[in-house]
This record gives sequence, C-alpha cells and structure tokens, in this order.
Amino acid sequence: MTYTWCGRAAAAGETVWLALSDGGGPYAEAAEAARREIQRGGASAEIATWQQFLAPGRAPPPLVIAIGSGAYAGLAESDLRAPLLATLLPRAAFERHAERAGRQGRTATAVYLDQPPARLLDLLRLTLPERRRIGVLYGPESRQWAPALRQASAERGVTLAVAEMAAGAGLFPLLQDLIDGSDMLLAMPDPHVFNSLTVQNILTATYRRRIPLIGFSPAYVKAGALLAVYSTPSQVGAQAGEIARAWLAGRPLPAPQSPREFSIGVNGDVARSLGIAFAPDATEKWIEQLRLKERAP
Amino acid sequence: MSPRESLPGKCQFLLAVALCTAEAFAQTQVAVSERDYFEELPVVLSVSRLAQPLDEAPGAVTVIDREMIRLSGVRDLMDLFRLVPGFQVAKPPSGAGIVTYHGLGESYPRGMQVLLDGRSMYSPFFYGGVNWNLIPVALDDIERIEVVRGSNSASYGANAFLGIANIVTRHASEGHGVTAEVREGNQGVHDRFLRLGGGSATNVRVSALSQQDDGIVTQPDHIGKRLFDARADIRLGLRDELQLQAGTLDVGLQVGTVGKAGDPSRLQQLRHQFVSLGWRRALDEFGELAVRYYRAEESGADAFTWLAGGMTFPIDYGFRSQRDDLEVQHTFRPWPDARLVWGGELRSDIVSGKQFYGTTEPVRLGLGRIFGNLEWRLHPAWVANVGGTIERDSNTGTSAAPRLALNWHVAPGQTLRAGISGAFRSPSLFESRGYGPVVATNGLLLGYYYFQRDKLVPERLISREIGWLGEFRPINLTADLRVFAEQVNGHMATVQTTLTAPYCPTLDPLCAAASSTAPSSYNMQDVSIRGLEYQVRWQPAARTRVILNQAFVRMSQQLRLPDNPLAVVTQIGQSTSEIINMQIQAAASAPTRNLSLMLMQTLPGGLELSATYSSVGALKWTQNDRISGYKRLDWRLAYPFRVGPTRGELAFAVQGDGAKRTEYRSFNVMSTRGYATLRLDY
Repeated sequence: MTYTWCGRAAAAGETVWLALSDGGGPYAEAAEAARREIQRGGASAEIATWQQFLAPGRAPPPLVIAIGSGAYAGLAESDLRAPLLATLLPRAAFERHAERAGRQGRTATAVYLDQPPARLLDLLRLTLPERRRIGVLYGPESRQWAPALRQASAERGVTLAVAEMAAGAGLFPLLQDLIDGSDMLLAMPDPHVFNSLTVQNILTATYRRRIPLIGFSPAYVKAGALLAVYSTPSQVGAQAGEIARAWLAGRPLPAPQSPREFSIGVNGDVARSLGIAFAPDATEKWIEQLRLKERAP
Repeated sequence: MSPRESLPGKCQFLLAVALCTAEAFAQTQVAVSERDYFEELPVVLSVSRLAQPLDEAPGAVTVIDREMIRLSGVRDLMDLFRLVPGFQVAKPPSGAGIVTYHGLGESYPRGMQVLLDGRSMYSPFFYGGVNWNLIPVALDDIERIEVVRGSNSASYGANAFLGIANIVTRHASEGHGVTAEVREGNQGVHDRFLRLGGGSATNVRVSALSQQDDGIVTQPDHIGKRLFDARADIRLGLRDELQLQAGTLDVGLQVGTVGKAGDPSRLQQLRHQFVSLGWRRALDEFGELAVRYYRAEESGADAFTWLAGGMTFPIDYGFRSQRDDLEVQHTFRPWPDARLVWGGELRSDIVSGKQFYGTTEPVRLGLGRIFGNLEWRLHPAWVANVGGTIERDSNTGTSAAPRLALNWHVAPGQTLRAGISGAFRSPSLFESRGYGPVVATNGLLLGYYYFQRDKLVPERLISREIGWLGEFRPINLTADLRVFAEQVNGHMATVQTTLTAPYCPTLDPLCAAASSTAPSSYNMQDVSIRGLEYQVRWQPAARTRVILNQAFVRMSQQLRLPDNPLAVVTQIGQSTSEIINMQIQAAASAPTRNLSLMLMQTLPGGLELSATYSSVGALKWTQNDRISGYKRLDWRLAYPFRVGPTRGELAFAVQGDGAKRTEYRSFNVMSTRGYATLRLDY
C-alpha cells in the first residue's frame, strides 16, 4: 500500500463524499467540521451514510472521507476506486481493513482517534509529576500499544506497570495486582477491559485506593476519572477536511496520523478528593505546553 | 467495523431470537471502535437499580446535579422540583412543602417517593407521603438527584407511585477540608452551614446546618431547622466498602392560626434521627452485592388545650415512629448480553400517636418485598428491561408491580423507548386505621379528627409511555420527551362522611345534625392522566447553558361508586357538594400547562448569572380553593474568588422577583425573598 498518491487540482464542481457510518451523533459532527474545511478551499462536500453513496448509478467522487469504522469497512470492501481518507476511528479499526483497501489498488489514509503515546505520557508528567508508576491494563485490542508506550515511558524516566487480560478472563485479580504496583492507572480503549458495564467497578476500585484513573473520553471524566485527553469529532473531522483540501489543491495524501488537536477534561471533584490541586486555567496551559513540545523540531 | 454492519445476514431483521443476538452482541464487544470513545457511561441508578445510561433506562429521568443545585440558588430541597417537567411545587403555611408529579395533590399528597441514599423518606406517620421539612440532608452534601418521571413501584415497591426522587449524597472521600457558609436575607432568612471532611482509608464527613425563615410571611409560619449529619466510608480492601451514616434533624415549626381555639398558633417540634449501615462488595467487574440496614425514628411534640363551651379538650398531636429496614441486593451477569439485579427488603414500622389512633399503644406494619430487573441487550440497538416487585404488608396483603420497557437506538444519539408498568400505593397506617376522637376532660365526645371505618385497598396505576431521547452534538443540545397515559384506579380520597350510631357525638346522640361528620378515606375515584412533557438542555456557547421544561397534562376522573353524587350520598352518607368538590379538585390538581426555563451564563470577570422563569397554570391544591396560575422569576448572581488556597463565593439570590403571587391557596400571598450567601472552602 502506498500513501503518496499524487494530489491533483480539483475540477470545478467536484464533490467530496463524506460517508458516515451512521446518521447523526459524532459522525454528523465530524462531517460538518470536515465540510467546513473543504468549502474553505472552494470545493464542495456531500454528507450521507456510506450505503447511500454506494447506490448504483452515482459517478465516483475524487475523494471519499469515511467517517467511522463502519463506513470505512464498508467502503474498503466495496468496488469504489476513489482514494479513501478514514477518520473518527481508532488505529486498530483502520488497520483491520487497510490491507484489503490496499490490495484493491486503492489509496487509503487516516486521521485516528487514538492519542499518540508520547502525548499521553507528556501529559501525565505535566499533570502528576510526582506520580511515576503508571499502571496500564491491556486487553486483546489495546496490547498493540505496548511497545510504543514502553518506549515513551523509558524516554521520560517513568515506570510502566503492565498487566494483560486475556479475552474472557477475569479482570479484578489483575486489577488488584496492578493497583498495588502503580500510583495511577492509564486506560487504553479496549472493549474487553473498559466498557460501560465494567467502568463503574474499576473506577470505584481505583478511587478507593486513591489511584487516579486517566481516561480517553469526556464520559470517563464525568464518571469519575481524574482527567482524560481526547479529540472531539469536530477536531478530527476538521483535520481530515484540511487533508482533503490540501489534496484537492495538488498535495499528496499523507500517511495515517494521530489527531493534531485535542482536548483535556478534568474532574475537579475527583482532583480535590485525591488532594490534587489544579489551577482553574490548568487545562489551557497543559494544551499549550504539549503543543509547543510537539511542534518543537 | 460498526456493530450494526457486522451482523451476520440471518440477524438482519431479528429482534428476539436469543442465539442470534448473543452472537451479535459478542461481535460488538470484540473489536475496538469509535464507540469506545463516544459511548456514554452509566449515569442513573434509580430506574432499574442498575447503573444505566439514560438512553437504556426503562423510564424517563431528569438528573439534578450539584452544579444545578448551586446555580439554582435554592435553600429548600422541594424548590428543585420546579426544574423538572411535570412536577408541581407549593409551600403551604404551617406545614411542609408539597411536591407532586401529575397532580393528585392535596394538603398531604402521598403519591411520591423520596429516597435519601436508599432510605425511604415516605413517612410511616400520619397520612404517609413525604414530609419535606424532615428530610435530613444539607443541599450542599448532595451529589445528584435522580428524578424518575413516571412510576417506579417495579423497583421500589409501594408508594413509588407517581414520581420518585433518589437523592444521592457525596461519598465521604469527596469534599475534604472545611466548607463554611453564611446566609442572611429578608423574611427571616438566617442560615449557617459547616462541613468538615477528611481521611484516607476511612473517610469521614460531618455536616452541621442551621436554617431559618418566616415561611409565608403573612401569618406566623416561622421554621427553624437544625441538622447534624455524619457519613463515614471505610475501605476494606479492593472489593469491600462499609458505609456508616447517622444524623439528627430538629425542626421547630409555627403552626395553627392566631385566635382559632381549635387550632391555635403554636410551635410544633419535630425530629428525625437515623442510623444506617451499608456494605458493598464488588464481586467482579460486573457484579456487586450490597446489604444495608437502617433505623429511622420520627417524633413530634404538639399539644395544646382547647377551651370551648366551658369545657376543656386536651389535644395531643404528638407522635413517635420507628422504622427498621434491611435490604439485600445482588447484581450480576446471567449471560453475556444481560444484567440482572434482584434482592429483597424487610421492614417494620411502629407508630404511636394518641390523637391519630385513639390510643397510646403502638400500631405496627410489617412489610416484605422482592424485586428484580433484567436488562437484556437483544441486539446492539435494542435493550429490553423486564422487572417488577412483589410486596406483602401486614395491613393490605400482597401487591405486585411489573414493568416492561424496550429502548431502541434508532441512530447514534437517538433513542426511542416504549414502556408499560404497574404501580401501587398502599394505604398508610393512618389512612387505614386512623381513629381520632376529640374528647373533653369531662368525657364529652365532640367529634372526630379522623375516623376510618371502611377497609381500604391499595390504589393501582397502569402507566403507558413513549419516550424519545435525542442528542444533537453539533449544536450541544439534548432533548427528552415523554408521552404518557397513566390510569389510576381506586384513588384514595378523604371526605367528610356522616356518622351513625354508636359513634354519634355526645351533643347529637342521634347523629341528626348535618355537622355530625368525620373525615374518612375511600378508594373512591379512577383518574386518568394523559399528556406530554419534555426537557431540552442546550449549550449554545461555552459560557451559556439553557434548560427548558414544559408539560401539558389533561386529567379526568370518574367516581368508582355509582357515578351519581346523589347515589353516593345515600350509600356512604356524604354531602353532595363534598363529592362534587372532590371530583373537581382531582381533575384540576395539575395545571394543564407548566413551563420553566433556566438560563446559566458566565459573565466577564467570572461572574455567574442564573435565572429561572416559571409559568404555572391554574390548579386546585385543595377542594375549597383554586389558584389562577402564576409566574415566577428566580435569579442568582455569584462571584467566585480565590484567596491563596481558599476558594470562596459571594452570591446574591432572589426568589419570586417582582409581583406578589399565590402558589398554594388564593389567600397565601407570597412576596419577593432575597438573600446573600458567603461561602468558603479550604
């Protein structure tokens, strides 16, 4: 598979497809942000579900932005030949179908939802500098992050305490050992480990040990995680839109990338009860510092 | 791959075939997707007893969180229900506030249940119902209030009939340090609050509150409360936690009417004290076992001497009640795409009060119930909740309340819900066995304060509802709509009934006078309640939030006895006007339109402005009076500040800004109340 498909100048009237996994929700939010960016470049974009775009008799577009893993999977399996830009999906979901998309001679790239490990660890160093033992509970879907997290933690001189849950195995015994050897718990998305049924008990267990949990969505902050770093649908959608705009203007499609813009959510009540004092404008400052670090040569 | 696309073909149109759905569910759980980033985590417990996201709960819920409580500026718990669609709130003189959902309010409404950390606030004393003055909690200790709009006997048994509020206080590990608050205002507002919290393996919180105001200021209606409340949460390893709570609330309330010999103006002393012990064990990442015991005691001192016709009537409305309650609850996953919560509760109520039961001997009520709710994910987009309660009490026998609800995630952020549930309200001890002769020291029987002769049975309710929950992320708006048809059968109403021998008053030995009557309750009416209500929460800008609530309610009623007032008069000896008044009141006990709009805006300089506008339509709280509807504006302006490690806030709040209004009876005129609050956290 090659990511350097040559860009080209958009012909007037050409319309990029914004293919949603499903109408509404985060998909619609990401699509609107992408469309705004594309329109800024003078091109137009049409929003519909991926199945609607695959209806017979439609002329192929210059570029398709697949929003969500369902849209990406459906389009990767289809006969559509246009280059594919996937967003609002995790790396694992992209990679599952990237091979098939490539095999059919199509170009595919992505803007992931996953935060890069370096950003995660830099944030933990900024926010909780005195806590140097980071617990990570991997499952079958998140263990792909283990090498990158190990490297990033070694570079920053922090210890990673790791446990891995096998599919279908019990979580609590692992969690007990992990909590004993850590002073914070970093949650990596994996439905085998963190899902709406388990999160309540995991949060309670960490909370009782006064171990902050670092989540990956605003819902975690609301539910009782100390903080979470995440990219909103608008942020990844806009990034995909910028890529599309650049491609229409003749630039090549880039390699799959992490989200550039991100947000940080803090649960002030949890922070106070853990005896952690954050300044009122702390999140803005952290985002600024992380940006500076990431943009440094 | 998104869940719905991943279904095997044979599952495409299938709802309930277990084999296939189990397969579909297993597939949704295998692969990481954007769902992991955007799914809502469980937020409400109160509908099914399972922690569920709002869009998978088998009923409509409005959550009032800490921030909303703070921004609303309210001092009294009951006022928060003005922010929930379908609720009516009023403050009568000489008594507790009254709150009802979809009407059927009276001076002592009895259809709503309030749980405070799982303890029932439904009083064993008097008519039953909730005495809003006697709920032992400081508003600042509340984490959130989950208000179930509908009935919930299916989870909480009798009395979770029309509306249920589950008040969850903060874990003792939250709010460490010291919080102090001072509030002063007009109409006698004079409040103090102090809370200390700390600990690590054992966290303890102690709160003390003193609160006073002059009530309805046009008559002696002063209330003073003193609350002392403590909570300890003790960790016993990773899996186990103990929770201890205890508290005492003393209330001094000015009741009666100046110059009225039979109900003189006087001070009533009330007390609620409780101790509660809970244990929770996390069985695995899904399961939990919880056991809780509590004892709550209420007592009141209210005695006076009534001098009439040269005779002396010693009246003693004093009472004492004691409730012991043990509950066990087990949550687990019976199979991968289902969760089950089930358990049981045993309760003993012992009540005594001479003027209420005609004796100083205690009156007892024993109760046992089992409950359960199965949440079954039939398909990634379909969730069914099936559950119910079976309850037996020593007063009325066995009652059951089943529930079935189906939630369909039509599209991301869009959920439709259809549900049907049964509920029941058992007559309170007083309603079913109350006997209050008014006897002079010389033995003369003047009449009865209350005299229940006929047997009462629980009133029943069948509720059908369609709900829609919509989330529109690009514009930060969520909507919650409930369309309902609630049929109440055998609603208990209290009316004056004619006395017959041998119960005639001494002065009217043949019960010949029309005034020889006594209040008594009957399963007298069937009431139909239909309508729709909605709540919209919108954040149009980072510093602006709006909550809009509106309800449209239509009520109608039918006498259960022959639907002809004259026939009823003959049968149970009531006056025609009494029956007609009662019929009119029931049908007009909820306003046909009710609206509240809350705006929260952060201003430059960190100032916080919030304002709530309410418009309540005409309604009848009582049989003899009607209020013509009112509009009310409450607002609050706050300045949060920080001095070193101390956080503080100076706030000014106004309730009922502008014109005078009547909320309960046409002659209880209420005027503007304002107060300033200084709060420090360190």
